[in-house]
Amino acid sequence: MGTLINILIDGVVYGLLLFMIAVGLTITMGLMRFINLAHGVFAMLGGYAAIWLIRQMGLPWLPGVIIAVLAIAAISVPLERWLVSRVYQRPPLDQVLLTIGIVFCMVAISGLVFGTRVSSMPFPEFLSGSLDLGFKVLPAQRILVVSVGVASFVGLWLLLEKTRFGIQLRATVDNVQTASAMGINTRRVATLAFALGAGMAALGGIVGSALMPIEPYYPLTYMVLFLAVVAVGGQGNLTGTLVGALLLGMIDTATKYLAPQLSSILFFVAIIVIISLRPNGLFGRAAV
Amino acid sequence: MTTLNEQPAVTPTASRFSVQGLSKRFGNLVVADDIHIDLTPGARMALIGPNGAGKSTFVNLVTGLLTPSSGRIVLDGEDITTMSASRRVRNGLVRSFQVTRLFRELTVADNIRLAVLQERQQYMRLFSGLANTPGLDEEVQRILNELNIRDRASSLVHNLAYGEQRLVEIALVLALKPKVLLLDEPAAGVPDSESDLILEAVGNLPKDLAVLLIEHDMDLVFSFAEQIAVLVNGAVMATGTPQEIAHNETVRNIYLGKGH
Amino acid sequence: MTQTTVKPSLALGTLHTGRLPIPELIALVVGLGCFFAFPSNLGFMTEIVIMILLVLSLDLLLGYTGIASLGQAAMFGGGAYCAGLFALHIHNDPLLGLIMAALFGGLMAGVSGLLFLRAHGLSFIILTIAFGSLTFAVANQLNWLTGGDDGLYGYIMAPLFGAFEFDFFGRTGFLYSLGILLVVFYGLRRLVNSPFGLSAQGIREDRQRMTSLGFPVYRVMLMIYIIAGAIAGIAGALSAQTIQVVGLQSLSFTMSAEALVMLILGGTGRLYGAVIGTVVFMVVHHYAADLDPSTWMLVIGLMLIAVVLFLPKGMVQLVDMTRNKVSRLNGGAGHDNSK
Ligand SMILES: Nc1ncnc2c1ncn2[C@@H]1O[C@H](COP(=O)(O)OP(=O)(O)O)[C@@H](O)[C@H]1O
Ligand SMILES: [Mg+2]
Repeated sequence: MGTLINILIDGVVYGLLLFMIAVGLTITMGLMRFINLAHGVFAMLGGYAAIWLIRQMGLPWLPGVIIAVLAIAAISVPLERWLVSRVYQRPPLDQVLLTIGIVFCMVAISGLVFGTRVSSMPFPEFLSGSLDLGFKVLPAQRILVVSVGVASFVGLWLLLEKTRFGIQLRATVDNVQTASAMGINTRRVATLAFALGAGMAALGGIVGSALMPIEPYYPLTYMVLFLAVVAVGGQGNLTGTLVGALLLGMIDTATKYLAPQLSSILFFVAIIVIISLRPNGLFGRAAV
Repeated sequence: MTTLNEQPAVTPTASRFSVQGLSKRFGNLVVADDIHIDLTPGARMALIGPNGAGKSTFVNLVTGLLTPSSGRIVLDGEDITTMSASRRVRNGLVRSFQVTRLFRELTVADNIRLAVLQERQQYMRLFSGLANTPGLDEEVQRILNELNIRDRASSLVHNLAYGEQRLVEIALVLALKPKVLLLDEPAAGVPDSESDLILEAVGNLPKDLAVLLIEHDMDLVFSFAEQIAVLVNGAVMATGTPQEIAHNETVRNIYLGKGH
Repeated sequence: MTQTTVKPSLALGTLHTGRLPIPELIALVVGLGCFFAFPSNLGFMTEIVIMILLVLSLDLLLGYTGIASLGQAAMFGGGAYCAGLFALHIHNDPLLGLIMAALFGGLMAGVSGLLFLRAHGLSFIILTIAFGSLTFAVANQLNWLTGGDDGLYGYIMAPLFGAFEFDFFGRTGFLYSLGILLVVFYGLRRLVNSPFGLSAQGIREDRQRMTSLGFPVYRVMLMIYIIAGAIAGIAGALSAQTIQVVGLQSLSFTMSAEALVMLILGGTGRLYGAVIGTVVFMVVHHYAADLDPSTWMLVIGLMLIAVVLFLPKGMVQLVDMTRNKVSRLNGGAGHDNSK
């Protein structure tokens, strides 16, 4: 019973973190049918930026985090404009190759600049404690992940449902041609969505650094994980992504609790089984 | 009931291909609404209807590219409703595409070769050269000559004019030696100067082949069809001989009215 | 096109080549030339030969059938471990080990392909990456069997054909690998020019159209996946047998990705493209050996980006461009065969 509760709580924490990082991926894939293997790069860069701003530049924690997130979102704009958008119309393989190229470059550069070891994220006093729930002691950083994760989901939901940008975004996900025929500037929507996704990933990378340590191989280590969230949740589907993220977070946590020796094996088996049984996602329509 | 004993062969030969109560919805949009269609061997039927009526969707449904919401599809007495798309083709149910779908980076000959290899079940020959495949080149030759595209044999498909590509599209379906052929607007997008070739090819189809032709050109429809079905909003609105359809008031209003 | 009596299939406009082993003879001459010219680099040249085999298997998948896999290292490493373990525990005859590895690679591909080949696009790519990660995790977990991080070693190969010892300089190893490469290359060339090979290309061009022609596309793809897996297994076995160590990196994502880089660099859909790409990549890697791993990774990354942006058809594109230029200079019409 205790284990079950542990799995449930830690699984939700991990799942919400996966959601934050992967949601940008699901949006850009839904928008432009663009396969991005490099999305984890933004999470890693977010982490490095925050560490640098807080440790080296001596910024207070919160402003440091906010500036880091905004900086990564800003950096992603020229990347999308000049590099990524050039392969939107190309076959999936070209997109895969280009984004692997980006991953390799960023892994290498991070290794050269920050060293190959884990860089630890500074956290303020009030986030280093923990909360005793009675049946479980929850580190404050996990509470941070949960609150930021839930806030992100609600915020994104409101953005998509209630704002003009959200309507344009959903119309573009639905059908790019129709959307641009309706006068929506789909290029701009794509760029903004890309920046939004990059910023979300950066935020996830920062608040989740206790669970997923910031190091140069970060984008490669978690590549399958982020992609799997999208594949399970369905491309361009916000709620689906949340469910996919929670499911995978739960599975990963469960394997770590129940069979720590075999956890990565069991996790990959689970991913393979789920995706090969439902290649179009849990909620996906059948391939036409 | 006694007829069953006396003429057991009646049922299979009477209908080569029959579609019973076929329906399909995309969300709220009904694109196929309780469609019944029956083709006897050698049938020449035309399926007409305004753009967006659901004609191509009907072809996608019966050939297995889309899954119907309900209904039954029967080929030669066998229920093929849940059969895989490729097995339907091997069983003789073949379609052409409204928008040409060819192997664009392969030569015309290789395109036809593929269809012939499937029809002759020779594609599992792993190490023998194409030139050494018995009967393959002769058959490809025959089809190239039949459609008069022999001099384009070694061109890559994407270098052909669209009209020529339409001929290759027809060559592919003929190479499959179908029992039932569904032609989805074979002359669509072809300049008038080249459409004669296609009409000729359609006119020369084997006599025992059951053909369903989707077409907008009424002259062609009336010269070709023995039976016409009119599809409007996914439902068959009328069926009959060309005369009956030509005199059907509703059809004239809804459909023929525009052109005549 | 004139109606003279050329070979019937040429008259019918196929662009496939004949069955004479001329490319293999050229490769043999080049290979032997290198053998005598660079006697101190035989180990490195053996590595190139092995990578060519792995990249060829990927070309069969990607270049000829349009199956984009990022997990071909699973079969490569699987074959390597299989050959190593076979030599260590059962029998150390190289050819017997090679056959076992081919079977094992084919089996791994068969089992995984059965599950994966129903998926498309993103899902298929993720599945292949996940399969690679899974095999890596399994090999790591079974360290009592595989040696884990330390690698699998301690086996000594029996002489090839019972006569040729695997010598310290790697002469036997190189000639053995070269021989296997030539055999596989010849087989592949026959395969891609066969009815089956044409069907593969049809699948690459348009899977759904192949279905509408009545092809059992899934079954054909599965067969190709198995054949490619067997070839990757052979490559892995050669690596295990000539280096006499098998490491976890043979199963790594980097291995799969590098093989893909070599293929893309050379150009897909032509067997010699795989050869060119591998040789160029490996030679550059060799001379960049002084670079630390991070810098090398940066080089690969930049290479990938550059190829996608500027040379989407690989280096064979350069060959074509020069060829067209030459034929234009000679006053000949630029031919339209892009194959
Ligand atoms: N995959 C699909 N999803 C939703 N609607 C579709 C789909 N395919 C076709 N339709 C709709 O079905 C209707 C019929 O289309 P179609 O069969 O192409 O008509 P026709 O061939 O008679 O011109 C159209 O309104 C089209 O928009
Ligand atoms: Mg249509």
